[in-house]
Order: sequence, then C-alpha cells, then structure tokens
Amino acid sequence: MKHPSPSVLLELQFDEAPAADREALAAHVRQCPSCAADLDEVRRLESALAVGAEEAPPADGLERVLARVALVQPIHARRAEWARAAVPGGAALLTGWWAVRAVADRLAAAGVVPGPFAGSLIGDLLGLSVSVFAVVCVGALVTLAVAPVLILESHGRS
Amino acid sequence: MTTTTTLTLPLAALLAGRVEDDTARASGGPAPAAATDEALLQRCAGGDTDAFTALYRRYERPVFGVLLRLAGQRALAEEWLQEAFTRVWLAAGTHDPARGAVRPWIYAIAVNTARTELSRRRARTPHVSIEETGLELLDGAAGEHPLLTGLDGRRQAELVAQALHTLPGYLREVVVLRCSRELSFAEIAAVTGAPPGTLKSRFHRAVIALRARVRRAQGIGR
Repeated sequence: MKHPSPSVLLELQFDEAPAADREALAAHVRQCPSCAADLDEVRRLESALAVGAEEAPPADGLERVLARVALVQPIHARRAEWARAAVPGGAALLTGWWAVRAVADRLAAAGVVPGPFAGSLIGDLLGLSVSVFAVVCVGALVTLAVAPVLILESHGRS
Repeated sequence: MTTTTTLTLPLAALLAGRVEDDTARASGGPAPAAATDEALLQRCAGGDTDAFTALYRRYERPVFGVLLRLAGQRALAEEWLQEAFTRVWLAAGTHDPARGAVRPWIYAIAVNTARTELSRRRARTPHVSIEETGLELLDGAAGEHPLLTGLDGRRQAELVAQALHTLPGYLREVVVLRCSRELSFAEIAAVTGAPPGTLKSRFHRAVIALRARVRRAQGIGR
C-alpha cells in the first residue's frame, strides 16, 4: 500500500476515515514506521493539548452572563415585541382617525368650521388640533393628579 | 439606593427563576436540560432564560476549554466565554436550522468572539514580525525529530501551549478545535468557513510549525 497522505492519517487519528478504508490504513500504519511516527506525533499533540482541558469554567460564569443578558433582549424577541405592538398601535391609529373625523363633523355641524371648509382637509386639520388639545389637557390633568403620589413614593424609597 | 435596587432586581428575578426551574425538575415538571439544542435555542429567541441556562450549562465546559486554548490565559478565556454566550443569547433568533446544527453555530460564535477580541488586543500591542513567530521554520527546517519525545506530560503541555501561541490564528484554531474532539473537520469547516481539505492541510502545517517551535524551546538543532 502507498503511504497515505497526512490528511488521511489525520482522518484515521480523529476517527473520520471511511469505514471501508479504516482497517487497511491501520494495517499499513502498524507496518510502516514512518506513518506510525507521523500518527504518533499527532497523538502526542492531542495528549499535550488535553492536559489542563479539564480546567473548570468560572463558577459564577452563568450568573455573570445572566446579569448581562438581563439587560438585552434577543433580536428575535425584540422583533416579536414590535410585531405585538403593531396590532394595538394600528387599532389606536384607526380609533384616533375616527375620533378626529367625528370631532371635525361636530365642529362643522356646530358652525365652528365655515361652510366651504366643512369635510375638507382644513376641517380635518381643525378636528385634529381640537382632538390633540383635548388629549394634552386630559394628560396634564392626569399628571397633576398622579405626580404627588409618585413624588411621595420616590421619597419613601430613597 | 434606588438605582442599586433597580439594577439588581432582574438578576435576582433570573436567579429565582433558576431555582424555580430546579424545583420543577425535581418534582417531575418540564426539564430544559433534556430538550434538544434546537428547542432550547428557539426558546432563548423568545426570551426564555431557563432555556438559556440549560444551553449554557451544556456548552460552558467544552467552549471554555477551546477558548482557554485560544486565549492562553484563564482571565481572557473567562471574559470571552461571557461575551460569546451573550452573543448566543442576542443572536438566538437568527439561527437557521436549515443551515446547520446549533453546536457548530455556538462554536462559530465562540471562535468569532476570540478572533474579534484578539484583533482588538493586537491593535493595542506592538507588531511582532514573522521571524519572531517561528513560522520561518515551516519550510522544511523543522527537522525529523518527532514532536515532544522524551518529555513528561506536564512539560509537553507547557511547550505545546507556548508554541501554539506563536502560530497564526487560522492554524491555531484548527488544532484547538479538532483536538478538543468536539467537532469534526466538516463541522470546523462550518465554523471557520474554510473547506475540510484546507483545514487538514492547515493542521498538518501546524504540526510541522509546532515541532519546530518545540525543538527550538528544547534547544535542539541550534
């Protein structure tokens, strides 16, 4: 048998040689001092690298990694959160648009919006402005009501 | 005081989650440790830290062994292990089972972490010429004296570890990954991006280079 190449000897050493060739290769190595020496050299290298390989990873490694991952969400999970937010977000937009149109119609009916502008873009913009103003007013009232509670709670914690 | 409380809470919650998970396992509940790598990674993508814990426990030791060999220093390997598993967590949702198994994917992340960190460190350290690395001995000057004959195991390991760090990364990686017995040449090909034939050739070149470096360290052939 011809000398196997270094790649084939590596396959033999790491149990990757095709099953059909394994026996013939092993028989050759047993009879060939040159190939046996090459194979032995790889074995020695592997043994040398195995020394210390049993060294244990840091005992608190998991805790440290968990502390880091607690601060970030996986990319997929972040995408899923966006997907989940899309449904209520879309519903909120539709509701908002309906509210703006309703306000605009009422303003037109009450005569606040001049006749030629009723149902037009200007009428809708006026409706939007009134709606936004109403939301801001409600938000400000809620903040004023809740702020003292938050301030007191914050003082209590510190 | 408020800040400390806020920052420590997620960790405490996560650790508490682990304790609950252990309790559930003891009582015959769901056991992430028995799940496949693919199932665990899928759960990680959904933000499941129990699944991540199981995956970490499964791979921490072999991945740490590889990183320790690539880094050559325990402190560095510990740092890289953390970084690698943080990347596993972040990228869990990007793994495509059709393109390969989870195991080589995790090793690929670990090896890429090592490469990034090494290049970052190299950028901060003075340049080392090729003459100093011992690679000039690759071309036939390594001699026929077999590697590591007549030395005790501990001394062999020291010499090889020292010599390993004089090799370029692409040679060191293939030796460390294959000798860890965790990945086949085909799997290392998926990790490194080099074809299996090239990897075997690199391994052989690495053995010759290591032989030369060890001989030099032993004072043979000077």
